[in-house]
Amino acid sequence: MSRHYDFCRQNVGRPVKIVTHDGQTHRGIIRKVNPSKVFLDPIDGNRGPGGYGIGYYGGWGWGGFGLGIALGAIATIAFLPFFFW
Amino acid sequence: MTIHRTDQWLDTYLDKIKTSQKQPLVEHQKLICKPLTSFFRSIDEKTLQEHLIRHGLFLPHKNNSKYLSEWLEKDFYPFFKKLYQKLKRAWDGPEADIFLFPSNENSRELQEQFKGNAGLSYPSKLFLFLSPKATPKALTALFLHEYSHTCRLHYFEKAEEDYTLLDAIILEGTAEYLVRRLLGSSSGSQIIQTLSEKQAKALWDKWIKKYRDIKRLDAKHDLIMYGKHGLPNHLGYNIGYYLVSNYAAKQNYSSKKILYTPNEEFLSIIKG
Repeated sequence: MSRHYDFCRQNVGRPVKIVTHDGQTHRGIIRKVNPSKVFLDPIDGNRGPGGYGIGYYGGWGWGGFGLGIALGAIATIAFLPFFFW
Repeated sequence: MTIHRTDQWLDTYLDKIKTSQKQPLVEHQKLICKPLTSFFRSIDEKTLQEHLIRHGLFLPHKNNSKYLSEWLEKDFYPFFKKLYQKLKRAWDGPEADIFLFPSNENSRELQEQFKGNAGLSYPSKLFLFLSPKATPKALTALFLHEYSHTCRLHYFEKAEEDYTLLDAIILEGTAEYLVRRLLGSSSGSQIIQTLSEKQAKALWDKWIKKYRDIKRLDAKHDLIMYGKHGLPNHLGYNIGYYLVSNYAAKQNYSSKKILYTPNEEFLSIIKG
């Protein structure tokens, strides 16, 4: 079991920054974890590719959570500040 | 006007996943998503793949060859070509790059709430994620919704990072209004509820007034639009529809005129 599994499980709902071994950075709110993957909701929703859809939040994909990040691919995880209201 | 031959990309994709040892995930990225990256400012196929899947694109797994073949047999092109030409003329709309794809058949919410159809629109391109079981009416409703976004986004030209919550609210309100006006309320989205004047005013004052100018990248934007974390469900969509439909009821405007009415005019409804 990846050492990141427990961390992710304990921090569902918190925004994090994950850097994977391939050098990619992923920012998001931990939505769901299973023994092999963590699924992040985008913090800035549609900033990247953008566009306007038909009204579904969170996105579809496997189990509704996009593609997920393999826990074994994670180099580092850190919390992000989340200023709400 | 181009409805791109995504059916050819799908044919190649199907071929690859049936015959080669390669992973569907990689082929999906390479054959379906990578060709689309040139239509964006600067994006890699992996990020775009994630984004499109979140918005309803079919999933890259080994077992949906039958589903994809079924989709290809439907041949949606003539239908959308005709619809696009008709609507472009009626709304004086822009040329758009249009991409048709199978939708995610595994998502229960997509099937139940949106009849298995979804889309994603930009000022000069749009993506339609279609169920092979879609009725002509459902397809029309989807196209009306998405192409109305493209028309309005194109008309009120703005840098994408400058789009505000109010822009989004009115964008969705006009789309919903036009679908219902042209096809009947049964073609409208299930997420829309009837609001009384009192309710709408209260919601506006509490959740929207202060934040109407926040940008898309503000975390509050989607939370308000979709009504998350204790906010009323699909708040932004409902306020948008309330404003546009009540405004339209007072005027005797054509669909086209409503489509291109500036945001501020709709606010006369809430301001009295």
